[in-house]
Amino acid sequence: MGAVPEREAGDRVGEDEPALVARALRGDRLALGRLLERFTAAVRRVTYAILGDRDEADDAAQDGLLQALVKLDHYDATRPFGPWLLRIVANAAIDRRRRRTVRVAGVLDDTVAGDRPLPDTEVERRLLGERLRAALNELPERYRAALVLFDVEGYSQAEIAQILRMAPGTVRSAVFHARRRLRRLMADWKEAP
Amino acid sequence: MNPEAMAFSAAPDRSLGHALRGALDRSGHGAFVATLLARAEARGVGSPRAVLGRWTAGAIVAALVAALAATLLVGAEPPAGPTYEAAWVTAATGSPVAAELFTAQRAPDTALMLAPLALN
Repeated sequence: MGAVPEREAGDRVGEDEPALVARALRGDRLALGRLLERFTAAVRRVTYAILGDRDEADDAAQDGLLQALVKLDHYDATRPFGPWLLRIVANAAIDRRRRRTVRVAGVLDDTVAGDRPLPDTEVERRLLGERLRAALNELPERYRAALVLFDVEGYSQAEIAQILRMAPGTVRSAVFHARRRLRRLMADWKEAP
Repeated sequence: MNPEAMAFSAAPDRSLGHALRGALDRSGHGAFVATLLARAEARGVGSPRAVLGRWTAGAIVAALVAALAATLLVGAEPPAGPTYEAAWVTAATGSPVAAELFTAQRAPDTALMLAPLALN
């Protein structure tokens, strides 16, 4: 069991999001850039978790972020910015996944397929990443999203409920089942001594 | 990963979160943000036109509210009493007709002007 995961460094320090949003709305491009830099990594992780495909995830992240920027003046500055943004982005990813008709067979991850020899620990780390991504893809969409938002991004159950439009009890259940199924799927994984 | 740690807990699982973060992390955020900013610019996000558009919309709403408030206030205002000029002319000449002539916004009616002569 662990403590609350650390959010991105930019989440904790510097100007708060409502102030950056206000500046961005006045046409301050530096503020807009800072706002994007602060959330880009999390947004891309969440869309990757939902879609399981790098290119599609980035397309969904771009579309979702663009939608959010276009209606930035609808953001209620009295509420946290992260859940508002991730709700739009998660919707974009979920919509894209539902529109997808044919799933292209996954190609070998380019981080593993490189021909340069890698240290054992690096190979191990990348293989673990591959296994985890494959295991995540076995989970239902809402389990994946809830698990990543809770254990990776550090959002509360109430915030995830808002992002994914679920009841808080459903979020709790989704995280529980996602962890249990991941444990089964990863049961044969042996960490290097 | 600790299997026991993967059962439900109200607290996030740090080790699982760390492993998943490593599996899902992407590179090239700079290029990603640059592409997004270019798309946002093409859509006019944060452009002077968009800012002006928001201000204009706000100004129109403010003007409508001010006009409505002014209409309500003027409509509720009691009828105006005699002006200072009218009171002064009445006092100086002893005639409210003279005051009306001096303070009228429009040219006086000739019948009104000739009325004293007709009486004589």
